[in-house]
Amino acid sequence: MIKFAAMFVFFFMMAVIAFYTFLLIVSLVQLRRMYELDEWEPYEEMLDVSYTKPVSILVPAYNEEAGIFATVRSLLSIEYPQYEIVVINDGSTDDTLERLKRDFDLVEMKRVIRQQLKTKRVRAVYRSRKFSHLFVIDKENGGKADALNAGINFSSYPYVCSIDGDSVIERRAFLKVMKPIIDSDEEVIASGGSVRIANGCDIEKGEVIRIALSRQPLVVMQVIEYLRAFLMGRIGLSRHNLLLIVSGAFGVFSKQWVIRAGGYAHTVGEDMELVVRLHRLIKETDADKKIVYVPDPVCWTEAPESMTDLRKQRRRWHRGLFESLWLHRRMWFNPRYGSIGLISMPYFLLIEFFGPVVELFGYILIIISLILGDIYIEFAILLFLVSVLYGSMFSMAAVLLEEWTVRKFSTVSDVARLFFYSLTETLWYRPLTVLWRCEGIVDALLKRKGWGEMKRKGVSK
Amino acid sequence: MSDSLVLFAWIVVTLLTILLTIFLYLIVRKRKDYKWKKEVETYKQLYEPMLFRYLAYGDEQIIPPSSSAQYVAMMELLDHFIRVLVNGDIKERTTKLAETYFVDYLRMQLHHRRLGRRMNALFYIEDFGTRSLLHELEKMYEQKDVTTMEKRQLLKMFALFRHPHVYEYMKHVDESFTQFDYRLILSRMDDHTFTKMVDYFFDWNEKMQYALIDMIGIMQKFAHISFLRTLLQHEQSEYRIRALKALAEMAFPLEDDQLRIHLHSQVWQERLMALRLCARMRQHTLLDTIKQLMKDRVFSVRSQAAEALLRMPNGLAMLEQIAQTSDDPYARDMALEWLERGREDD
Repeated sequence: MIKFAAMFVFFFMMAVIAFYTFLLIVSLVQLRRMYELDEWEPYEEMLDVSYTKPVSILVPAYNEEAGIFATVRSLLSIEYPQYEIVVINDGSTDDTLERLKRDFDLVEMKRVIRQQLKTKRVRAVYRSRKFSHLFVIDKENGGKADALNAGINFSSYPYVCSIDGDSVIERRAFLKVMKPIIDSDEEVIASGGSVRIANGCDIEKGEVIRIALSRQPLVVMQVIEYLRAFLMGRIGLSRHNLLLIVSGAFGVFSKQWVIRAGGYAHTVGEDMELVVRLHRLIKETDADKKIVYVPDPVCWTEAPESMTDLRKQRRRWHRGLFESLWLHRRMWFNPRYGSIGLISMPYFLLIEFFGPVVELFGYILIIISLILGDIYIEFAILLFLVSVLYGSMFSMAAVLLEEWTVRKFSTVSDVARLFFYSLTETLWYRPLTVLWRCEGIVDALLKRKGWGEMKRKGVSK
Repeated sequence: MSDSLVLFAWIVVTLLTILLTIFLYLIVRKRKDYKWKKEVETYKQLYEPMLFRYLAYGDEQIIPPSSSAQYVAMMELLDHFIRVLVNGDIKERTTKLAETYFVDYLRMQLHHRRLGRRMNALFYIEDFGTRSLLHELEKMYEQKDVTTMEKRQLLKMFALFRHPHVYEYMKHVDESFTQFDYRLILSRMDDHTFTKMVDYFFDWNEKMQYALIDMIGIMQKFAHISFLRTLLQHEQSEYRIRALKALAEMAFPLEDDQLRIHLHSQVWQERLMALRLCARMRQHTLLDTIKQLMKDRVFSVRSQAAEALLRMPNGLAMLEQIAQTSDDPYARDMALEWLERGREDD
């Protein structure tokens, strides 16, 4: 019995390892080609407004009086020829709106809003007297997705991007993310960029001045996790237009396509779900469109520093993953959706979603085998070894990949710390996140019937 | 079981060793790289005043670079200077300096096995205007394994350097080129070649055709107005729309009768572009048609009509009247919005 279970876990993990290896190699080749390419030259031409497409930046805000000023301010100084910032106050109960009115000298304005997506009632629209490209929408509370949809209705430009209150956007983020769209004559309808962890970096006036590694082990592990997810997974998948679900990423979407897809939906991870829906729409309408991913870090986000917060985040992400997958269950193993239905969906379902269950099972088996002792010790060793391969080794490889290609960390000690921390991943961090993700599955299963309740969640995390 | 377990353990240990070796290699390389970067910085500080005087007054002797750190320091500085100091003399001196000192180094970089390095060399050659490498670039373009990214950059440079066969090159570009690529190439092209491109307009593929029309507008090439006017008669609406857009960009006044045809077009994009032209020209004689378009079923047409009215001498009064008396609620709403925008500007 135990032998059978151990073998199942073993072969599952070996299959996943094979897939990861494939992704790693694709990413390595891709990144290495562009190694040392000038940071500025490829983007210079995009500063000319006659070639570039303007972007509407949507900032949903629910009770964010403390952070909203800094977020908006950092957006005011980004480098992009034409853009507007639309803050959507989602019926905050604190002084978010008052704060905005005061800080940015808002006056009410008349604007005909095209109701292309249904949203809660918009109470008023404001414009800033200080910055002609800053607008604020005041609406009744309807959740983050509803706020974003209201922002889309109001926005006047063909591309939209949503930004969370707790992120810092690089000044050239939009040039980098819009490049594939412009380059391809808009064949690319959504483009995402890497997200990195801001903890430990020096940030001044909404700009990352120096990239460094936090002293907190929990944050270091998250940095490794992000490197692994973004450098390995996303690039590998994006290369073959297989990229599906991106938790906590930064992306620009073609407004026209978002509207065609029905706008943002009330799920835990709106962005993730939207990407799946866009892929689905592309396949269903047989359109020659793409969703791509840019390896450059463009968005810096604050990672949770305590176990409690991290646990909450991981549970929520995993529930979001489940919702996105479940909503589109018709695509699972469905040849009609081509590689998305046959590769991406199964990958996210079996590896990303069910992987933690198998892993947890493996850890339990290790403990049981150790207790039983005798011949079972062999199973314990085997499972431990394979999980070292599965967890630590790929993380180590991701750190090396970073250093070999993107090279954002400036000091030797940061790289060394990343490398040795990733060696310990299997021993503590991995089991913890596996456990939390399994909790997320339980959450999702228990609340499955009633995810309509999520609607009133509000915007803030 | 235990045999295969031992084997598996060996595999894991081997992989770990490999990773560790790569790690050590990367660390050593990082240290070296750090030193090298510092060296470049030191040279940059050393060269800065000297290079600045040379570029600004042309009376400084420059010591030729010998190590690769010196090359990189000098080229980066030079690139920085020409970006901030835009002036004919400076450009000329930059080219002269680059032609004397950097050509060999850049040529070597053009053959680097890594794409990133080769691209950087191409960017430098373009920025410095080192035409003497043109032959080298040609050879590179002819190579079998040249990537599309390089091809795009090379064609841009052929256009910029007035390569005699740029037109022939354009005829044989691959399908993967986008309108955006074409625009960038066209933007660097001299008038003579551009005119030739326009003369054979209908021989080009669609993407190139659209890029050509757009660039006439963006670069304000008034010599091609009559060509745009012939496109206005074309049965394919995309041509008419783009031509109107280009004319609007150049604010070229069209006759009322001609404009009226487009304002009444079945295609809403055509109505929109015709209105944009009206807005640029402040054509007073078409007021009734424009007012009628305030009731158009397409949102953006209504919005553009309102803007066109606003730009007229007594635009505010006309919008006020529509806002109060129009029988169409959409027209009233749109008039109100633009009234407010108009008042903001006052």
